[in-house]
Amino acid sequence: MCLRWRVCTVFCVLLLFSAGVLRVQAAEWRHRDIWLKNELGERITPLRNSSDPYSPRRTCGTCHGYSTITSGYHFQQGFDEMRDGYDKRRPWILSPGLFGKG
Amino acid sequence: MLSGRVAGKKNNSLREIDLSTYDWIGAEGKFGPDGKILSVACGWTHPGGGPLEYGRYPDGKPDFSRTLVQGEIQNKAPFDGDYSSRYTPDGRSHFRESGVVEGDCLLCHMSGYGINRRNFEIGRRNYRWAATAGAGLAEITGGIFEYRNPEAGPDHTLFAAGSWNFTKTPSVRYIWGNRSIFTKDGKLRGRLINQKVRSENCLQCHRDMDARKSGTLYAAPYDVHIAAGFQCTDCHGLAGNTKARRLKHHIAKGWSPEGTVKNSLDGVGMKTCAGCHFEGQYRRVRANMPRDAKNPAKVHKEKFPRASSHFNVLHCTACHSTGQPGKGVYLLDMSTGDQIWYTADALEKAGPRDHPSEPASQLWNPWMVRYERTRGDGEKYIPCLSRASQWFGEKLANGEVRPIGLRYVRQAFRGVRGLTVVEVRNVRGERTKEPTVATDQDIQLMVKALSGMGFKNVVFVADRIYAVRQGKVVALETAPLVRGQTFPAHSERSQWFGEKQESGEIKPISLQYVLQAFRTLEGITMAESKGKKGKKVMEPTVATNADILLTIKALSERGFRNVVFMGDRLYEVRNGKLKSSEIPQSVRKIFLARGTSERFGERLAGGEIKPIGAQQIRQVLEGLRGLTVSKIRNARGEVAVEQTIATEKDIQRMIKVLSDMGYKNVVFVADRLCEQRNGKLVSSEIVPVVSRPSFPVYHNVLPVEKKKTYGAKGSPDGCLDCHGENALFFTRMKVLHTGRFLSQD
Repeated sequence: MCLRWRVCTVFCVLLLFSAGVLRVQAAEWRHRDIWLKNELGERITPLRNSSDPYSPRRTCGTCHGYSTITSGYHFQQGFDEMRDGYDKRRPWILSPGLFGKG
Repeated sequence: MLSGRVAGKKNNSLREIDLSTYDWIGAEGKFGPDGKILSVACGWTHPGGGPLEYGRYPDGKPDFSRTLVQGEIQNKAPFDGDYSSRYTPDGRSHFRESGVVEGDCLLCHMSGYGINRRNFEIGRRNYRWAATAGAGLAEITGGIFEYRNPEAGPDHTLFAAGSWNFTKTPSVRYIWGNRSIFTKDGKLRGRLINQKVRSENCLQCHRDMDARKSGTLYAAPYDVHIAAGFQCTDCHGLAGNTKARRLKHHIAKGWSPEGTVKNSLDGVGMKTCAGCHFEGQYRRVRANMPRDAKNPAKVHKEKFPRASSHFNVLHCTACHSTGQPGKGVYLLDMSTGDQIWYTADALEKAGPRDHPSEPASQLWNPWMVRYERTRGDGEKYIPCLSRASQWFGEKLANGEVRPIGLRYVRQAFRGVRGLTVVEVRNVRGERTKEPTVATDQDIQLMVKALSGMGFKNVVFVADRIYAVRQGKVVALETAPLVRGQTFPAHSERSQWFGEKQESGEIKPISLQYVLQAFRTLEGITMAESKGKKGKKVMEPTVATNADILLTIKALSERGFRNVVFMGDRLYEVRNGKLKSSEIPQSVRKIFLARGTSERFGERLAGGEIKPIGAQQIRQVLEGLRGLTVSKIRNARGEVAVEQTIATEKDIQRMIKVLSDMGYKNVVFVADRLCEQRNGKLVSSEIVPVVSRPSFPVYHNVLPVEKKKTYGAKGSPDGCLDCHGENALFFTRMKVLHTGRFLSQD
């Protein structure tokens, strides 16, 4: 194979390789950088509201369905089914648990 | 740990409140000066949101329309289950100052999240600041509540003492200069947020929790799946077959006898042993995972030819999780108002300062329980750790036992002298002395003290339920842990016979022997007829050969000789057997004029047959009444008249026959417990059993080696792992003829 062909081949291989790498890099998931927000939904920065704790509801909830997500049973632990008199025989049990079951 | 129950919304007195929501979240959560946990608050293992963010309506239902901060402003009700407190100076919650604990996304979605940092803030009632501290974004200075004696543990009288500060807000100092966390302008770096939840996040809560519950340790040396590179979410993904459903964040879960939260989701989206290993559902999602999931069908068949029935009744872990690596908690002693744990591996005392997830000195075998995981699927054997406990409660009119709050039990204990002190060894190998309730005298002292505090019908719940009656400690009847089969099968209620053991346990009598006893008491056939005033009654009648034999025998015992019966033929007993012959013409007219049941006579010397008086026959038949009869509808929908056990007389007769067969202390278990005492049948109330929780073992699958997997040696030697004389459970019979057993498919 002549020198020109060899150079072209190597160049094409390098081109294909870098395209493949870029494709992999592009597919790598990464959350965007986000502003923290306080309970009132105000941005927390070094210059503003910097003495406020951040609020997951206001921060993550800006983009993600906070109410839907926290309807999961890990968050509710029976609270969504809770009521006084839940168990007629054992009045101290208020829900299927764990919150309210003891 | 503060083992408290959250109070109902509406309460009439402080005594009804164990923990309000405000206290449930953070009360008595404490770290020592060395950073080690002294006591755990209930809210520590809750990710926020739900009840840590919202309160309840007056009927106790969740109120998602306003947060606890907003609800507190409007609530003025005394003893409110959300807005009161046993710890604050004014007896009220302070959500306005403390804030709420919102659902903390980064608790799961951030590597390096600090659960202890978060819980430290919750312990000092800085609910609003918990998420900031947990994510390591800032230093928090000052607390709504500060402990006065940081080193005092739960056994110290000044453990919970501290000061409240409702005026000065805790200060926050973000570490803006840390460029691995914040950008130059103050944004949180997105690369800290993980899309997939990693095991390290799950284990922040589940490591200690599951180590305590079932002795499970999630570490490679103890589990083949973890060793193979699996993460929790590989099996416990989000349930739901659409993105919208998965957004609800219902994490796939299996089945547990104790877990009752969202039972409708049991198994939904859950990867199971069979799914991957038999049904080809396994997918390699990361390079470090195995290429495939081995199908054990061939090996199972080679090891246990023609014994496939085992795999219908055993969960996979029954054979494959035979050695628990964590200490676990077997016994929880709350008899003195504290929570004293004793480990499952060595019955050593463990406290909150002792790390629950430290390995046991050697693997130990879990218990085995039968449990129906999916309705209609039938019970399977599942390994578990059963938890025994002892505590004080009030027996209610319906038989249930309401626990007495530990703070009252502690108060009673501190006022009592002379309780038993036992010497125990703790997990560090040190010998310590522990007061406990162990004797009748201990029970009496504590029951008296608690009754003096105003509690009613105080009982002590341990292996049985104990009450003090007329100055003596008595064990109340509890429903047996093991139930016999209902007899007869068509009974309307659960009822069965057993032998009462010394321990109070009732051992069921095998059904075949109960049936045998029943047969001897069946008595004569009963038939429906119109009695006086046209009312339908059941009367004895002669309908079968057995009836004829019974009646002839009874008449003979009355003094009649050579008794015969005139049915379709002439029946008499010769050499102990019933024989029949043609009815002589000479007597045909006389007897056939009578009702069937009255056609009995005496064969005289000359061959004549003299009728026996109808009244005497009726008396004899009455005496041959067997057990109570009732009408039932059988499987074909036909109405049949069957004998059953329904009256005291039936029960007494059955107990007598079973006792004559050699059974000791025979009892009848139905809605009450019946037994014979001094010739009389006495019944006692059965108090509903306080069930012992069983925490299943679904993890810690060990490598298949001869010593670690039951049955790995294959039949017949492998059978002895469970069926041999030294086996820990199942039948302790010698498997002698495996060929015959294994001929059954």
